[in-house]
Amino acid sequence: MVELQPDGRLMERGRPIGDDPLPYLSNSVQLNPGFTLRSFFLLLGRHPELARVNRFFPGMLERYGSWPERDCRPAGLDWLQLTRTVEMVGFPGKPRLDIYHAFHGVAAGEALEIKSYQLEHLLDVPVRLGGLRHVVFGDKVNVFVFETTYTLFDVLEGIGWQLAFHGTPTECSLRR
Amino acid sequence: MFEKILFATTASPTCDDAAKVAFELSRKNHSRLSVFHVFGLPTRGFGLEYRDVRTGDRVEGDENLVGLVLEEMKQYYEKQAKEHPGVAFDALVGEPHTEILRKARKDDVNLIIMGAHNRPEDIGASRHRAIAGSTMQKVAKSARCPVLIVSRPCVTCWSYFANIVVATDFSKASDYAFQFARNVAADIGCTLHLFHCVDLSSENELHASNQAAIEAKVREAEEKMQGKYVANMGEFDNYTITIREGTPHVEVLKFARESKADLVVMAHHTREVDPEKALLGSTVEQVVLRSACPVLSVNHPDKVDVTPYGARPESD
Repeated sequence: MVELQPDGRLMERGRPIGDDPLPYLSNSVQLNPGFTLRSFFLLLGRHPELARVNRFFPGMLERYGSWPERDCRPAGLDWLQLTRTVEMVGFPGKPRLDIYHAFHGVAAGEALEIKSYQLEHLLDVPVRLGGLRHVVFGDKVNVFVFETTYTLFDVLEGIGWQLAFHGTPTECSLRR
Repeated sequence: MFEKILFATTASPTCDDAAKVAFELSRKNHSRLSVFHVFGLPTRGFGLEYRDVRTGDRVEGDENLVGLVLEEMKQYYEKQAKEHPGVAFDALVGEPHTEILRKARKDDVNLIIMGAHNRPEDIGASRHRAIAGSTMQKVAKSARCPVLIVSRPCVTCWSYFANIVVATDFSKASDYAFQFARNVAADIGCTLHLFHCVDLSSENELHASNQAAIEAKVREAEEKMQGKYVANMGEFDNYTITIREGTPHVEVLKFARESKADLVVMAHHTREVDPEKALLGSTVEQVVLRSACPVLSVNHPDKVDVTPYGARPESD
């Protein structure tokens, strides 16, 4: 088990790990209280090797330097949550099993797509690890939710996938 | 600009962003808009049963079924259709991508507009659904006319576009994408950004190259840009040229965001990949998935000349 601190430090048994975080990628993760999306960027800043997990991370880290240092939290968004979904798909196409992570917002208890938010507006939103959703055959909604654990790699890859969508230009809406 | 537009829809909230663009664009251009929905797969032979595309349920069809579906579509788009009285609705049972392509050919449409067809309730599922052979990809791959894919809310009207990015890999299909983008940019009066990425992704032999080799590739790309595209700009002079190195889809997205692109134009068929095998993970699919603005896929020389379809009335 490794712990992620709000200041981006990666701890094992109460002590910071050294310069090489890669052996810890398969360890399960606990997010300590106060961990936000800003903490996630601080983690990538402390351990640049981890930024290689996703091709969009280096570009985001470059932009991170120009973002505000506090108060980046939109009203109404309670927290950001990583969830894992195991989905049995029977139709269309050949039956298959999809397993994926989703990183989304939670507002008033409801899941919320966050890709329309500017990334710099989400930095101080708390991040939590959610449960595992088991979806059986899509629209004939059979959804079960279980407790689960996430590895450090799951956290990096799952959050990275979602953050790659962020880049809605602000100019467009002004021009309209 | 477009005489006939085909809007292929599921007539559900997943296509709302695309619907907004389809109705607005066709209204502004006085185009003939056809709203088309394929709602089931026929069972074997000439049975009356079909399987619902969304749920997989077996449903007994009868002669009133298409009429009922059409009625539902008209209700769903009632508000938009009021402002566009000439809109035609059509629905049928069949393989969605086959029927969309068949209708586009039959009606000789100038543009197909589609959503990326993800269900909003399954956040995150796009990483599987949008990558593993969706209708959108099959249509984009095979259509002879340009295909506009709208997967996010498009906040700028087509005619107010300020920046169009055309991403090229110098393939034949990319040349058609350039011609289309140049014609649209000239018609709208906006800036055209020509973009090429020297591929440094792991699959590419350049990965092990040194900086000098990469710079040589960049210079070579600059020369190609001049010879292939700048020389063919005609009277159009509102353009920029940018060459980057890296992973193509990442760099295209980064550049589109930096240049505040309202539209990204690309060829579906990349130079490196056989068109028949280009279904999974090609650059355009990766861009479609993450782009904040609409992406237009062009593969054929048909319909790239947007000017003969009638000048826009001065009142617009």
